[in-house]
Amino acid sequence: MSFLSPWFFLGLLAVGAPLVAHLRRLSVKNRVAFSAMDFLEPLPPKKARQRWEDIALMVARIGALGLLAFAFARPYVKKSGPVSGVPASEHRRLVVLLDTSASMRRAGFFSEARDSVRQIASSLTDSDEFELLGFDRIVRPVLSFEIWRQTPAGERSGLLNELLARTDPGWAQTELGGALKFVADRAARDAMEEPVEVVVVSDLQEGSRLAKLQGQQWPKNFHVRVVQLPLKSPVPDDGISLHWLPPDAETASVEAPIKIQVTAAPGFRGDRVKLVLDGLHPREWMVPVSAGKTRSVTVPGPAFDFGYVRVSEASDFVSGVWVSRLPQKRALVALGYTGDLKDPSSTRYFVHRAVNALGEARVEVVAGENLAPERDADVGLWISNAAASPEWNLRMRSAVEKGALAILTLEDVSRAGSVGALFGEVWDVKEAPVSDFAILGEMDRRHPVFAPFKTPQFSDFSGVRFWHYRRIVLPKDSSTRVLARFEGGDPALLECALGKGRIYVWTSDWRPQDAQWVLSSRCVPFLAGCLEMAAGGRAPFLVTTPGESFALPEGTTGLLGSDGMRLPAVGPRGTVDQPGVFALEPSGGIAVVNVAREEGRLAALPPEKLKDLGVPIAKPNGEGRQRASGSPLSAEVLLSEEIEAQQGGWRWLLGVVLVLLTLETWWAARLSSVSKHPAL
Amino acid sequence: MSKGWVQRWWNKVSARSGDARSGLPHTGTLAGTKSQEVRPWMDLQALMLIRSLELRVQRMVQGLHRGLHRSVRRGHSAEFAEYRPYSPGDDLRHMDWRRMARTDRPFLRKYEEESDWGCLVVADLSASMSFGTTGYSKADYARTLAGTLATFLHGQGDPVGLLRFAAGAGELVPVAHAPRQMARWWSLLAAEPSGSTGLRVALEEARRILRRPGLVVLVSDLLVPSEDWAEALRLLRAARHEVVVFEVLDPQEIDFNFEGDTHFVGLEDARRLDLDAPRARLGYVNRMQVHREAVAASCARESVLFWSVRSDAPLEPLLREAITAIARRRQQSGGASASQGRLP
Repeated sequence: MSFLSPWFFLGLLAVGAPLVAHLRRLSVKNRVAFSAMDFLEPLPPKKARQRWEDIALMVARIGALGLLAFAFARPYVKKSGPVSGVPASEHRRLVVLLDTSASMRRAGFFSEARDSVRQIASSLTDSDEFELLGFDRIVRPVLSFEIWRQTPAGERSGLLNELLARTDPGWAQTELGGALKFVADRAARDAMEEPVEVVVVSDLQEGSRLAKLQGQQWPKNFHVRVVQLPLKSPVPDDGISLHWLPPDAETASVEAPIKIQVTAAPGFRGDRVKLVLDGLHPREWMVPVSAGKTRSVTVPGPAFDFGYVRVSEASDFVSGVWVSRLPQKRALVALGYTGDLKDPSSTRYFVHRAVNALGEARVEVVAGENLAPERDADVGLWISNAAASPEWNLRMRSAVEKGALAILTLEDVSRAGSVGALFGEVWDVKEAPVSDFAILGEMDRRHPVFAPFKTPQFSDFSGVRFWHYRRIVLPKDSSTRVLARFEGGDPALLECALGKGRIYVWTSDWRPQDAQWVLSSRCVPFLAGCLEMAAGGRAPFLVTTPGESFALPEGTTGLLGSDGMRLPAVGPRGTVDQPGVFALEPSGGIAVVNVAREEGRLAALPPEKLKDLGVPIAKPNGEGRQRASGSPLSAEVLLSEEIEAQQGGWRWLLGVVLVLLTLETWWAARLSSVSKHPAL
Repeated sequence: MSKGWVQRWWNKVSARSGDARSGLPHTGTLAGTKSQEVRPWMDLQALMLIRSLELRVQRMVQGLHRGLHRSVRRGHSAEFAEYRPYSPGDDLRHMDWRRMARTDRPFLRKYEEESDWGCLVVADLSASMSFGTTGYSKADYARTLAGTLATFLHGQGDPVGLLRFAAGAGELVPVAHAPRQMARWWSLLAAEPSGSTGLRVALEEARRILRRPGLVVLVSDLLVPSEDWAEALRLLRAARHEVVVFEVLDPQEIDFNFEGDTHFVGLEDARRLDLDAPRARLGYVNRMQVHREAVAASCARESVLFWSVRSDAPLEPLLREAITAIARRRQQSGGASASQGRLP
């Protein structure tokens, strides 16, 4: 028999107390100088039976104290075999789930995890089976049962050390529920009769995902034990964690500011923190924070494309985050207008300015006369009026058929007929009689060119006046679609499909003397919508976490990281294993990869939480960790604790003590009653 | 069997709850029974911490004056003492009209009180009075009780004497109303308790001292058989003295809650006894109960005002009740002061 806490035998010294009390009762008496001696009478001496009863009471008290000390010493019988309430069998089948998630990258955690795995493996006998699985988002085999069996017993330790040395924590999130479910489902599928011990070696941080454990059916003889890190002492929760609030890729403007959530842990001491932006446009700024609070801040200063925001002088992974603006495509716009670029009365003057208002970063404007034919394929948007040269029209038509977009404005009736001819249709075109002015009355707001005007704030076109426009009557079998009409019902904007592309025809010219359109605040967003259409929509913008699979935009050939590392794209889906900003080639899109926010919740999760979810926990190591305080637990100690917990001898001893004390109390009360009332 | 258990439990409760509920007959009201009506002037334990008996008594008298709204004595003697400004509500009969005519301000005349109703306090300071488990002895309690009562009576103008007794006839402060009367009291009461309880002799001595009908206040633990002193008490009453008896007992003398084997040593004699206290308790309590019933019966037989007091009971309610009862007896026996009813 061995004892887990033999120093509790010092409690045996307490058994002297009843003995001393008994002896004092025999020899030493209280002395009282009393006034009413006349009322006291001598009592008959105690009978021999009473003396024996006193001695028996003393023995019962000594026995109770001795058993109590014995129970606190936590006795157990040493025997080889399984632990943690696992039924005895010829050999053990042990699966160790080693947490390789990002939270294990904290200093010292993973080396401690390696030590724990080695200690667990060292308690195995030659006939025991062992498997080591690493897990974060997914489960990866490190050392399978098969290899363990095939490896000679003497070389297993070396093999394990080698494999452990090659195993490092990644950046992915902790999917503990999925890992346990995987092992449990596999055991159930294999219908193993032998008991399976699963040891989870993890920091068991609060952000561990456990949702998959809901409703999980656990196979018979399946036992889980948790070795929660760190073993030495709890890690204080006193840091700052950053979380990027990415803009909505569909609705947000590319100029939208970059916002970050700064969360101070409850134990954080201080009232401000210095944030640093690393990248091409580095900067530093102070952010006021309060312990236990979260606040959103905007990265100050001039705009930048992407960068890494971190807490100054903090090295923890939760204290840094990759950020990026929405990607934007640079389109080539060809303007076919003739006339003087500096003449305010010409259409070219205004259109050129409207298109350039989109920004140099987004557009490259090329005048028709300067457009080299070999660049025709690069032009996304052709803008001209019907008066353009036949050569221009031919080049434009060719490009549109290959997928480009074109916008044509009708400056007079005479040239309008030729536009219909572009699509093989005969349009009846007349000058519309406008008494004062016309305004747009009806438009297809679901169409992508009007996408910027979805919200009511921008959907009012009543302020845009048209003084001259051409009334076009389309043939009945026309494939041309009317996207907008004037109030009188005359078409204002037509969409004509041509090959893979489209031509948008305005029935008015954009000159200020014809309409206010080019001067209104609606024109530039309309052009932006057309540009996006020309580019096939916005550039892809992906926000994901390490190890998470995401759909790659069509045609993506690879991902180019901000550090220059290039990841080839294989198949329609991709995965990135580390945080960073990656350019999607050749679409110009961006994928921003950050450690999952839940992984930043580093407070320790009580192992009892697993028990609440129905996990058959054999014994959490919480007690052991607290006792260890300062020195790592040896495998022998862990084993002893488990055997002792399994046998639970102290419980039986405490039961005996309680029974003994109950009997002693009853007996003492009886004796006291008899002595006080001898006549009864 | 259950009946026996209930009976034992009842006995225990009765014994622990004190003699007020133990069914003892008595002529007066037991101390502590009205203690909740007027809040004590001072906590008893705190009072007993005052070492000087005189100071302790002064404190108690202050409390008594606070509780008693008007004097039990009325009237004025012919000896003028001082003037006092008139206050609304004062008796207009005592106003000095001549002085008012001179000064145009109303004044009342105050007179020294006089009394020929002598009071003799017979205080037991035998060795048994030195017993105490409440932090002070029965003697301390008895000194305070007797001293307070005497000071109060002295303050009313009554001649007050003290007979301290133990084994013999004791020592005496004569019954008088002298300015230094109380100083003699404190000197005599300061003696340490010693000797046996010669109660019969003390009562006979009291009868001899008080030649005219008066008041005899006996403060003692009365731990002697009542047969020994019952005749002396009867003779006192026959001499038309009003007798007030305070039986002062320590809680342990009543409850006997000693633990374990105890070596008892007599305070008044050399008797020694080794007893298992829990086993001896029942017999002791029964014998003490019989004795106290006999004492109370003796007092009741002679129409004596009797209070059985636990030495942990508050003094103030007891004294207030006793003073009121004494005043009532005094009126009934015609022992009022000669000045009563006289107007200046």
